[in-house]
Amino acid sequence: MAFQTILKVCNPSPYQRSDYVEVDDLKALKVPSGLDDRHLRLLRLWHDGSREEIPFQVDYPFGKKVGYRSLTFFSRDTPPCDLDYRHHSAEFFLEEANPRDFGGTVDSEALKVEHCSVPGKFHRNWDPTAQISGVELSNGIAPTEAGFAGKSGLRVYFSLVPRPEPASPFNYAGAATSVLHYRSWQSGGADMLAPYDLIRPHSPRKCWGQVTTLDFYPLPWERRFYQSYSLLRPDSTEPRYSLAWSRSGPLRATVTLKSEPFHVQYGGGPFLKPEKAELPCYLYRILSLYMEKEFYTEQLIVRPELGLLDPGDRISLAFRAHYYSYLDYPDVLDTTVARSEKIPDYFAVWKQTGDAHRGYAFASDSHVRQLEVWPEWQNVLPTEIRWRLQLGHEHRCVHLFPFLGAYPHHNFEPYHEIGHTGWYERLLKPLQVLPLNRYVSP
Amino acid sequence: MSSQTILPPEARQGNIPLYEKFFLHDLRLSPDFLTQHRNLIRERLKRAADEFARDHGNIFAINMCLHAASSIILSNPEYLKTTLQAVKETRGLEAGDPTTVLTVGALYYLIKWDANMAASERQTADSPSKSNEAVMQADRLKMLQQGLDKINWLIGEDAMTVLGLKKLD
Repeated sequence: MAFQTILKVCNPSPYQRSDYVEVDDLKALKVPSGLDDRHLRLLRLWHDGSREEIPFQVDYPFGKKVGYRSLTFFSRDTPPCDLDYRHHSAEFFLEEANPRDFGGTVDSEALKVEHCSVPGKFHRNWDPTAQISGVELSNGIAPTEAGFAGKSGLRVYFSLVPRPEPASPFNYAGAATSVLHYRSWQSGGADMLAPYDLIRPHSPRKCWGQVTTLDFYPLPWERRFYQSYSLLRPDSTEPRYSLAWSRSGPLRATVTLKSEPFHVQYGGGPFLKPEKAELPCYLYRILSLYMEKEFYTEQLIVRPELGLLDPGDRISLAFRAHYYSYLDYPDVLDTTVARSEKIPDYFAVWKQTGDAHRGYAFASDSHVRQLEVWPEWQNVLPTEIRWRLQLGHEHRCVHLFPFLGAYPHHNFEPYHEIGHTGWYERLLKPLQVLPLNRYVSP
Repeated sequence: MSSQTILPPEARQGNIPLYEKFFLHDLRLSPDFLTQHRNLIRERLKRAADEFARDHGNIFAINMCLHAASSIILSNPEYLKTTLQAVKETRGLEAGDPTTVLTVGALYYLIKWDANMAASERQTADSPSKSNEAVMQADRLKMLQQGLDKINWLIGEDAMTVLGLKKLD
C-alpha cells in the first residue's frame, strides 16, 4: 500500500501565522527511505473540507549518499493554537503519489544557487565532483533585474576556499564575503558589508558569519581541558569547505558546506565504550535562503563519521562555535548594540548615518556569549564583531540584515526585528509538526 | 525655472550658509575632490531622479540621494567627529540627529553644485545634444529638490532655515 500520513501543524503563537514548516528528518514521519519530492505530494486540508495541493521541498542536507532527508513546506493562514505545542491547528496530507508540477506558479529564477569554480564564473548546475570555490544564494529579484522598486531579498556569496585568488589577503573560508540587500541596493548601498563604498574602496577584510573555531568538551568525569579546533589554521594547510548539498527548490535555496575532517579525542572510560578513541568529524553548515526574506538561516552540526556508525542516523557531537564578522565602516560612526543578557540568544549591531539604519543581527537557539563589538570596547579598531555559541548539538541560527531607510521616518526599535522575526518566529516558536521531531533520530 | 535660479543667493553674495560651512570648511572637503568624482555623483543624482519618476519611487530616490551624500561624507571621515559636534552645538540644530542634518546639508550642497555645473555646461556646450543633456540634468535636479522641499528635507522648516536651505519658488 502506498505511503500516506497526516501532518499536524501547531502554531504556538496567539496570532495567525503564514510561515515555513520544517521537518528535520523524514524518518520521524516514517516516510519510507528513497521517497522524496519526486514521489510524494502534499495537500493542505482546509477546515471546510477542501484540499489544496501545495509545493514542498525535500533536501538531503548531508548529501544524497547519506540518505538523510529534511522536509520544508509553507503553512498559509495557520490559526493560533496552544503556546506549548500541545495541539495542532492545521493539517496536511502527505502521500506517495505523482506530485503536481509547480513550475508555472513558483518563480524558479527568484530562488537561486550559483556555483563558482573559477573567480567570476558562475553556473546554476551543481556537479558534485567539481571543485567549487564559492556559492551565491539569492532569494528574490534583484533591483537591476527587476526594473521596479519595492522587492526585498538577499544575494549572499559564501567562500568555500581560504584564498579565492592567490593574492587574497585574508582567509575567507566559510565567510559570507558579500551580502547584497535588495532594498538597500535600491537605496544606493547594495552590499550590507560595505554600504558606503561609492567613492572609497571597500576594505578587503569585509565578511560576515565566518566560523573560526570549534570547541569540544570531554565527558564530565574526564580530567581534561576542552579541545579547540581552528577552521582557519594559519599555515599552508588552511582548511577549505566542500559542498555536500546544493539545491534551489520551490521553497528555499539551500547549500550544505562540509569542512575538512578533524579529529576529536573521545574518552568514554570507565563507564562508556570505547574507552579511548579518535573520532574523525566534519562540521556541516546548512545555509538556506527563503523567498524575499532578509535573512539566511544556518544550522551547525558536527558529525563523527566512522565505518561502524549508520550514516543515516543523526549522530552529532556537542560543541561551541566561534564567529567572526567585519563591517566596512569608518570608526567614527555611531554603533548601537542591541543585546540583552536576559535573552542572550540574539543581538543586533546597528550602524546609523543620515538617519538610515543598517542592522547586522544574529539569533540562535543556543545562547550567544562573549559578544565583542570592537569599537564599543576599545574605541580604536575597525568594526569587528566576534561572538560564540554556548555548548550544544545542533545550533540553529538566523543571520538577519534589517534595513531602515532614512525616508520615510521609522521609529527605530533596535530589538524588534531580530527578537521577533529572527528569534521568536524562527527559533523559539516556529510552526512545527506534531509530535515534535527536532533532534530525534528514530 | 532655469538651473541658474536655484543657485543659493548666499553663495552669489559671497556669504557662506551653514550647510556649506559644515560641508566644505568643517569636513574639509575640497571642491577638487567633488570634481574628481563628478561623474559618480551625477550618475547617482540622475538615477535618483529616474526613481522619482516611478510609481512610489520617491522613497528610493530620496534614500539614494542621501546615500550619495553619506558616501561622500564617509569617504572623508577625518573631521567627521568634530563636524558632528559642531552641528550638535549649533543653536536650532541641537534637537535633530547630527548625522541627518549634516547629510541633508551635504545633499543640498551637491544638488546646487551639480546644478551650477549643468548651467555652465549649457553655456559652453559645443553641440545641441550636450546642451540638451545639460538642460535635462538641470530639470532632474529641480525635480529632486522639489521632492525634498515637499518633505522639508527631512529636518523641518526651522532647521532648514538655520542650515540655510531654501525651497524653490
